[in-house]
Amino acid sequence: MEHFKLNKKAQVHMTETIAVMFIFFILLSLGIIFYAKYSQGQARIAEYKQFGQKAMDMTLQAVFLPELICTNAEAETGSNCIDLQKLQYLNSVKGLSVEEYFSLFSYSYIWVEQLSPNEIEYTIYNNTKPEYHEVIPSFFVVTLKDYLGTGSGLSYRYGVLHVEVYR
Amino acid sequence: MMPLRPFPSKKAQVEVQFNWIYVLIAGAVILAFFGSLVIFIKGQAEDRRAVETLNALNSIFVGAGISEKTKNFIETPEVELVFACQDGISSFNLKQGEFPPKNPAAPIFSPAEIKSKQLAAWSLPYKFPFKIMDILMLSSAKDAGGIKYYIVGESPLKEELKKNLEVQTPLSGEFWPGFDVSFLSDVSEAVDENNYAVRFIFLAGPSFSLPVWISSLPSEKVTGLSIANKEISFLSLKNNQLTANSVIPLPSIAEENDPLIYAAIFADSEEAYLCQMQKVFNKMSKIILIYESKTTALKDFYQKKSAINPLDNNYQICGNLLIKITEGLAVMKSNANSCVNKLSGSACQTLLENALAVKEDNTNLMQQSCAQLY
Repeated sequence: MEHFKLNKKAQVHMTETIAVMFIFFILLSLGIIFYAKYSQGQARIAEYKQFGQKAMDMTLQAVFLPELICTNAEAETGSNCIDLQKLQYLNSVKGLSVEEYFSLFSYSYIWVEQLSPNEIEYTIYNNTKPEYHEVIPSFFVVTLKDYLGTGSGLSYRYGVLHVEVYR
Repeated sequence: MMPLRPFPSKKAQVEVQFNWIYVLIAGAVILAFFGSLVIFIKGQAEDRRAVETLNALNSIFVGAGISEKTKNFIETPEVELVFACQDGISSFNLKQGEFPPKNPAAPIFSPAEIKSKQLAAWSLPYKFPFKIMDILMLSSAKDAGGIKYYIVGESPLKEELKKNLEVQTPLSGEFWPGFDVSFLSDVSEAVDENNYAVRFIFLAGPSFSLPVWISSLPSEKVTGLSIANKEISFLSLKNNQLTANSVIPLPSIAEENDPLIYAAIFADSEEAYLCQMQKVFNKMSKIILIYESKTTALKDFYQKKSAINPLDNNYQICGNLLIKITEGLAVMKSNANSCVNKLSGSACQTLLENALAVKEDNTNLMQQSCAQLY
């Protein structure tokens, strides 16, 4: 009889142990699922941050591109100033070559909107992505240096440099 | 009298022992599981840090590259950077791990490997005669246990190098530690400072006998450069002696702070230097094309004005100067394409003359009150 009682006690004890382990593994699985979801969110945030940084790098490179910037003979080049004659040439050839400048500008659309004295748009680089997830636009006010001017020589116009980076 | 308890059966004895073995195995499995999870997460965190470092460095190099004549001081985690260049495409990456390399647009003249927690970067515009691009020089900062530069000999260039490469404490702006340079009259004065790599820059002809302690360094970690006027020669260590490779004339018209000389100081091999210069020359061809179109636009303007106002001589003078520049730029473009691979040869010499001619013509445009090319 006592032997029978001991056996039953042992079985109950074993069942308790199994139940504890079962709950433990359920909690562990919940923990792993939670961590996976958290990591996914973190990865998305990191991806977005990296895309933002890349967009900023491209914008800076566009603003300071030697193919566009104003010059002043041997003096230092001006900032936020675009040579209008160079810009007009690039627009006439539909912008910079995508093959040659893809490493610099990737999928983006860079153009200048002249605001004064009249509104004209000049394309600098056009490589928009057909199906994109998002686009980050940046704007810079720039002066357009016209070496030919209007009668009296050198003159300045102003416009906005648009840089739209696609992902 | 109490009844005798029966002895524990053999089955019970085995059961107890089995219980303990079961506990040990289960415990070991759980421990192994958590251990591998920790190692996996640690590996992921290290990879993430490495990728973030690479991305941050890429952005810093972009910023440093576009702000001309600026010096930057970069603090990095303890990583080893490797720089490579092939067929005009440069890249940099971390030495450990397999990450996609970064391909910077601007040429970076640096040693092939940099092992330092602090980097010093300096960018200079390369003008030929108009601005082609900014050139970025990069190496380990002073007192960061990186590469040591010994500048040997006397020449007019020495004072300029002292002013540019040593530590600077500007009145305003950020402190710049400079590169780890020592100026010597003779190569025998070079003292071992436990650097993992050294580079000798000879201003008055190369010296072939090196200090004895050099033999303790691997041969690829000892390099040299000889600078004479506008010609350079890369030196490599063979049998404990520095031997010169070919002489490379520099396609540069800068009278001071010549970016191509500084680029040669920091690029530790001729192959790396020429590869980065390919990038510069490819860009040069594109820039010349744009200036050609600008010259055509200016020339057409003055020719029209001259036709309308035949009595005004100035328009004709401007038009003629611009015709000369147009021809000069066409020859420059052709020579730039021929000069791209070796930097030596008649095409490169002619290119230098073309650039000087365009510079002179641009000055003439200014003197004649014409619209300037640049």
